[in-house]
Amino acid sequence: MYEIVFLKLRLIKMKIRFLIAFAFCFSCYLSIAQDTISFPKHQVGAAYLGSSFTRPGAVFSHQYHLWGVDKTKETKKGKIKPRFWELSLINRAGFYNHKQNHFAALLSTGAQFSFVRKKGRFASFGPQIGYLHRFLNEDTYVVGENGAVERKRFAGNAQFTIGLQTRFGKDFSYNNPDNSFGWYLGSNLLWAMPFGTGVVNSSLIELGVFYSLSKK
Amino acid sequence: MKNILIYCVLAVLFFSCNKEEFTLSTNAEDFFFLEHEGAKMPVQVEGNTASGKLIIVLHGGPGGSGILLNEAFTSFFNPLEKEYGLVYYDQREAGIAQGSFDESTLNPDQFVEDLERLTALIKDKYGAETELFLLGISWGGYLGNAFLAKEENQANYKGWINMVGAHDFLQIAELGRERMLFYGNQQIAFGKNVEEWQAIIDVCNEMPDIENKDDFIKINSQAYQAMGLMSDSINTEISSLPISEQLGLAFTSPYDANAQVSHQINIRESEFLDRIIAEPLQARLPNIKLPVLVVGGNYDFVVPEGALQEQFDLYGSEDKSLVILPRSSHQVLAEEVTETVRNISDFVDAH
Repeated sequence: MYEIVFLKLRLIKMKIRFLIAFAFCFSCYLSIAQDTISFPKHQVGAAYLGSSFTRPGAVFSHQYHLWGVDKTKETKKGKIKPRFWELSLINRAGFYNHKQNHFAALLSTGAQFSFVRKKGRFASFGPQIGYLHRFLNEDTYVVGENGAVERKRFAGNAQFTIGLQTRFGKDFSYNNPDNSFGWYLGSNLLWAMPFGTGVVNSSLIELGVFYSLSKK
Repeated sequence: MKNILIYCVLAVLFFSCNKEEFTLSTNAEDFFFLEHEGAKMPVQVEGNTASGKLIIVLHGGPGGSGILLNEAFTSFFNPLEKEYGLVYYDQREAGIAQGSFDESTLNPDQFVEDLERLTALIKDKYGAETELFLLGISWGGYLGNAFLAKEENQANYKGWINMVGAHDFLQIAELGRERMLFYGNQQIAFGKNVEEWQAIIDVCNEMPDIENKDDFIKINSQAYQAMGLMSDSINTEISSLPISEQLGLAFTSPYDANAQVSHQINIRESEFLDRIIAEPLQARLPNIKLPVLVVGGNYDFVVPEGALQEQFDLYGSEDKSLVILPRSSHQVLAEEVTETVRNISDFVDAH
């Protein structure tokens, strides 16, 4: 039994190392690419995080701009149609509470590919990997072989997560350089492992604001 | 950033250090977890714990949920909660149980051991003098049989309520097949649901012998379809939950459908069912000598009357009774509820 657990852990560790190495190489490659317009370099955000919508929590994010390109078009009638593609690295720390089930602390990193239209309306998506720790949020007991009952503090378990995130919102700085705020509505589909003898998926919703710290 | 970290740590501490709380009252609402061999199993104790009588509910499945039963079948459990304390728990790899453990722990002996630990915990927290009863439903009936077949476990219990519980998975499928053929031919003769019954009969005829997990699953799935076709003869007392309660279940209760679906997938992909099939309990049932109430449904094609009759005959108890509800199937928590609750109350009160 222990050999199987050990092998599973090694496999998970190898996958994590591979993903981190891949993310690092990809980031380096993109960071040397030339931007054609000025994009916000750093953005910080705060949002409501709801597991299955209503199990409440919060998430704080830092978004680092890696690459962007201006694909603005002019129509035959001379109308300007602004369009931008942007790639960012996004790191997040959050938590949510599922009453009488668990309190979750979440750390994740991922890439985010955004398509921005006029007035800063954007849609983005991207993969993410992370760590989720489930703390059981009710008393937990362990009963020994002799029947002795002990209360266990901080019972829970650690999980490796992979997921997909999508966001829709508006970045006001595209329309008005003096306004560094924006808002977004996001959804996340996460797969967390180990859970039982396998994997559990969960859906998280985000509604929040972000602030652009600086322009490149 | 520093403040954010402090708030996060405080939040973790707050949610991890809830006050230890066990109540003996007429309206208890306790919730806690039992951790054993990697599994973290939720335990919900509700109702009249001051009565000094607690009924531990073993859910079906495997992979069902005691927490969900409590939320979804209030018309069945609430009358019992007025009189006794009800203990609902989710077994490992079931419902909203958490933790991580090896697939090899999905075996009947481990489930029995988990239940032994739960028994010790309940006795410890609600008092050694508390009188315990075990109520097993379907797969929970198999688990209760396996648990009580160990004589040392019977000492902690006053009675065993086996509701449509199994003891031999291949045998119940074989008996179910025979019953579906009988009722199928009868219904076709009456001209009722002819096409649907014919399809079920064809599947049953293709499988003269039930030999393994695949055969069992096929027959089991036909049995549920067949019970659906008998709805005219079945007295369903509980209708589906109102929308508001369904939304509450989905969004504000401890229940988590994602977790339960994951558990059910894991169980399907595991060898658990093979292990259960390999361990029929006929030889061990004579060890059960405490009072027993067996409840079944006349139109149950999953655990048919014949299987319950065999268990009833094999129990070593001198105080035992068998009730076959004439207008019920396998869904005994929703059908002829008034009669079933009355039978359970009479049994618990008498012991």
